[in-house]
Amino acid sequence: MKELPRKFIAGALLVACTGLAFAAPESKGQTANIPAIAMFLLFVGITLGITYWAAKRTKTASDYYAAGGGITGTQNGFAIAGDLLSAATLLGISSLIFAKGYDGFLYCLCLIVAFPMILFIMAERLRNLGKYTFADVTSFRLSQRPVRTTAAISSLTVVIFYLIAQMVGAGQVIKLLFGIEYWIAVVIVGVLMVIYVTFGGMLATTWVQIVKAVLLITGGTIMALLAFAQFGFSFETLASKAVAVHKDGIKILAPGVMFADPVSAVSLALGMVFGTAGLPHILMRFFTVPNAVESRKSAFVATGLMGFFFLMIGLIGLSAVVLVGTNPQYFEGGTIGGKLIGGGNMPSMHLAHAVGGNLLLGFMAAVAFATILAVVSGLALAGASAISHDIYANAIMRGTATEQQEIRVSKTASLGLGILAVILGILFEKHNLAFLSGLTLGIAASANFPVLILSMYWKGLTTRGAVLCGLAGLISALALVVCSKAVWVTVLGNPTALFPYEQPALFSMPLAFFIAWLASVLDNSESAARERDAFEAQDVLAETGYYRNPLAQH
Amino acid sequence: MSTDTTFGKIINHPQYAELVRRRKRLAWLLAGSTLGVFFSFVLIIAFSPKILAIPVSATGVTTIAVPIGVAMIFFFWILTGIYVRRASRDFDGLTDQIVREALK
Repeated sequence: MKELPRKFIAGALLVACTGLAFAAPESKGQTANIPAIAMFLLFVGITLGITYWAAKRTKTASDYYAAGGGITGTQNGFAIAGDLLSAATLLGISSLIFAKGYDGFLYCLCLIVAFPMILFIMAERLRNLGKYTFADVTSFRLSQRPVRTTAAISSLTVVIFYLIAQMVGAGQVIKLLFGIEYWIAVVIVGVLMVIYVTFGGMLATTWVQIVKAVLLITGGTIMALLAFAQFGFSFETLASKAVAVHKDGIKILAPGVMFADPVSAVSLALGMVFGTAGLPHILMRFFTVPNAVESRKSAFVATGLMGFFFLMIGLIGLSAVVLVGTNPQYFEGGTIGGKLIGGGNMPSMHLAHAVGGNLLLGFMAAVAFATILAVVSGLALAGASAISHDIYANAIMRGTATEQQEIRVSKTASLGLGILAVILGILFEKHNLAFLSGLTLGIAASANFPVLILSMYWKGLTTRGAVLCGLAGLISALALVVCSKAVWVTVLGNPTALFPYEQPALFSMPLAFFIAWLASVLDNSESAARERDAFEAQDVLAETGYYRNPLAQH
Repeated sequence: MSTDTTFGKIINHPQYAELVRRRKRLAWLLAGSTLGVFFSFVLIIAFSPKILAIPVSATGVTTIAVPIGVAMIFFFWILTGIYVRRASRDFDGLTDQIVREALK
């Protein structure tokens, strides 16, 4: 077994190299970007090195799921920021700003609010109550089997939808930036993801995320400053030039149509804030630090890094309006205002070229690829942990499985998730997946967040309440998205939507809370009484984390 | 397992209730400010976005939406900083003292 990691890692490097080297010249219409490929291979080399190093240090379940609790607050802050700063943020939000101006920036504001909220009401309690997954917290004083199974189902739903969105985005971006076939790109992402997760566990996944976060923030800052320099570092100069050339003129500097409908605006904001606070791969990161003090620090660092990066993204998007939007070389057929080469997601990449030439474009392309890899790895690990820790070890084996068995199941699960992600990524290549981000955040906000917050703060929550709350949130969020325009009309081809709004959270979240309350207060069983009684002890642990005190270790 | 006695000693510790009360007050105050500021902003956008389209100066194009957005990012980050600072100054020592005395 010892030899296995090294062989696999060497093999993977080979796959990545040959995939890129041979596929590149074949594809039509795209020129392979040599600096991009070189820098990407360097990143893959470094991350596989990290994985090899991490594999030797990953022995126990705690190592595998939580990096042995040995990540510092600052490191974890970078990793958390990295999880949220996905390719969707780098490419998607900057292109929204490019197209709609200020409305795109509003997404940044919604995302960042989640972290103060996590810090004030969740971070320390998560660390004090949980071990590896957030279901450790929700099932703390409740019946293990039903509560963990429900949590695992909603976690897996979120992880799989999120993975599909990342995979399809990955395939399209990589195809474009590296000039390789879509399916090859998806397979490379899948293979590397499985290697990081199965061999390196949380330690490798965290460090891959940290390396990527540093690269992304550095690259984004360089790009933003180079672009800003062209306007003499004056926001007013940049803004007036952008207003002069953008088809919407002055409107791009104020909130516009995207948040015009109050119901949709509030629903979107709720979904983004509390959905982010209910994402299983983000919550899992709070278990990688040794104590509540470091847990706090990670939320502080993550908020700062994200805030800084979002300011850079704002500059990038607005600069692109001027520097990309008026340059015929970035439009198909050279028609300014027509279709951007490579599609609507490309303004930030074109801007990298415009301000830093092929070298910066290559660097940012490699960073985009790295971003996708790091984010899918975190997702795969969260999904695999839900299967192995919640379903296998606790719900099926009722805590009798050995750590080695549990880790083996987790590794198999991550392989399975990798294969599934590749297959689904290839199947959904041509589909319009715009609804996926609303769906994943909607489910996380409605199925994960209410159970988590109630289990930590409300004495009255019972097993029945927690299970029905999770199911109500999951089913209502799913059903509302299916009935919304993005799926009912765009995907299924019906004439009008059954649910008039795009975002489910405003309806599904209160429903989940209400069901939790109703089912809990109506629960007069003996076990429910015991669960209510157990709250006080849980609360003392949540407040103090006393079992972590060195004096309590015997 | 000494868990039950430890738990009992902590909950009966004279300063435990004070720790919990002070930390909860700080946490909910900051969480309320965060959500209050953010959702007021969302509601302004939803109901009267024109307010945010007012230019900062008579001669420029930059609207007040820009500095407000940037200020919100700084505001949220400063709030996290306040929590981290207050928690390590006021609560960590107290928590440690309570737990130590309970474990004795």
